[in-house]
Amino acid sequence: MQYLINIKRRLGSGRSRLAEIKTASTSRTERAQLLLITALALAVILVTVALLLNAAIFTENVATRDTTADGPEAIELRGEVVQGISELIETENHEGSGSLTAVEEDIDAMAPMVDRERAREGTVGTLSHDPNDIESGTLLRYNETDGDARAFSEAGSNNWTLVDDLGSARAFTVAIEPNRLNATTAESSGDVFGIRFSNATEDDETLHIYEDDNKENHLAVARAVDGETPERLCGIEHGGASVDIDITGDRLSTDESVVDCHRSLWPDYDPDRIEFVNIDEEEGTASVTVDEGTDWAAAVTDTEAVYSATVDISYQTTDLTFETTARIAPGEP
Amino acid sequence: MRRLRADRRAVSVTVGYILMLSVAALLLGVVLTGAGGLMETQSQQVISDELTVVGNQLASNIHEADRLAVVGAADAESSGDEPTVELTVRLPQQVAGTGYLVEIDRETIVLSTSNPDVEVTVRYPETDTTLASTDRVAGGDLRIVYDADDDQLEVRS
Repeated sequence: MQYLINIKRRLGSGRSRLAEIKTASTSRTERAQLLLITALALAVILVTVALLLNAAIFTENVATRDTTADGPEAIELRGEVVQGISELIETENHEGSGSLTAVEEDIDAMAPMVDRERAREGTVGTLSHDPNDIESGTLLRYNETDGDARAFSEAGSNNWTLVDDLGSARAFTVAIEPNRLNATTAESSGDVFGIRFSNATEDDETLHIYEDDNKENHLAVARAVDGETPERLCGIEHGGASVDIDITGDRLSTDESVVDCHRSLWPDYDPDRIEFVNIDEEEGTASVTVDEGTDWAAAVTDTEAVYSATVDISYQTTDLTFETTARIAPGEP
Repeated sequence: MRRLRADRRAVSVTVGYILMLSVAALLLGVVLTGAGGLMETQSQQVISDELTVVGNQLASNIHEADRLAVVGAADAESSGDEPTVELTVRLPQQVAGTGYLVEIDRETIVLSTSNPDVEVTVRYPETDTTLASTDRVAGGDLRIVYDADDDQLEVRS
């Protein structure tokens, strides 16, 4: 019992000491403020360091990310539509009746496919057209006879006019048998077979087509402006087979190779007349699509054709709106 | 009184506290000063990096809009109908916690912040379509619009 009383006394004296200490410490609380404020300052600094680190990481992330809008996709859509309608027009002209209505219906059928295709990618693509924006024209062809290349002299002895009073022309191509061409050089080619473009105000331009005398199996094209000395534009190797000269597309091709002429074969101005000149023994075919209101040679076959179609194309995403109206006249220079 | 003089414990504790507080204050002062300076340098570096990235993003989008404008303008030449090109560039409102300004003039994008004072210049190749000079606009989402009447691109906030 006495033992318990002693413990109680000791505890009582301990409590009184604790109370003294507590009183002393509460009277000097200002000493802890230094540590508290410093801790807070350090905490703010550490948080800022974390934020800066975060910003730096985010910056690196953004720097290696593609953040541009869908510009290439929009241009791709336009290209696909233009390419598709170009092929549609040319197919209709060469293998169909050249009907405006047929082309119009085909464009109408193409529009939902454009919508659906883009919807799969989460974007909006539209194709629309006004029926009045499809222009008619005429496809002129100097054709083969019984599957063989036709002599250009059949339509006229020395020179003859392919088309006169020309408004607009596109897809002008000439397929020629190279072994029937005269062999010469560019400078001397002024008297050989050629295609002459002219109008009332500009100088005549003639594309002379010849076998290059300096090379074997090499067809070349040279241009003479207003009868001056011709200047070579481009040439192509051939194995004796027919060479296609795409005059509005600036391209020479055989079954084996294609050469782009970096200098335009078509004149800088809009010609009124296209003639074949200096015809000798040359053989081949020619084809051109012209708009309405023009005259052409009697030897040339003419069929109705679609000259051009104008369509509205739009491409939309959350970040991009692109709307354009494209006039599609395949092969127009 | 005699008892108080004889008691050395309080003196020891007081001196101990004073010394401890002095050393702690000195140490913490050095740490805070050093950390503050480091923070400012790092902050400027991060802002500079981020502004460079933002400038390059804007430049690539300007070229994107330029390509679309060229295609649209070429179509307009044959069809006669004006194209629409409107491109939104998603840029951050702030870089490293501070707002910034964007200014465009002659193939140069100048991005700047005022606190801390950082200015970054990003140059980009000439565009085919003229880009109208832009007065200082606040950072954030920007729109690049093709003005078909004046045949030029404009950057708007």
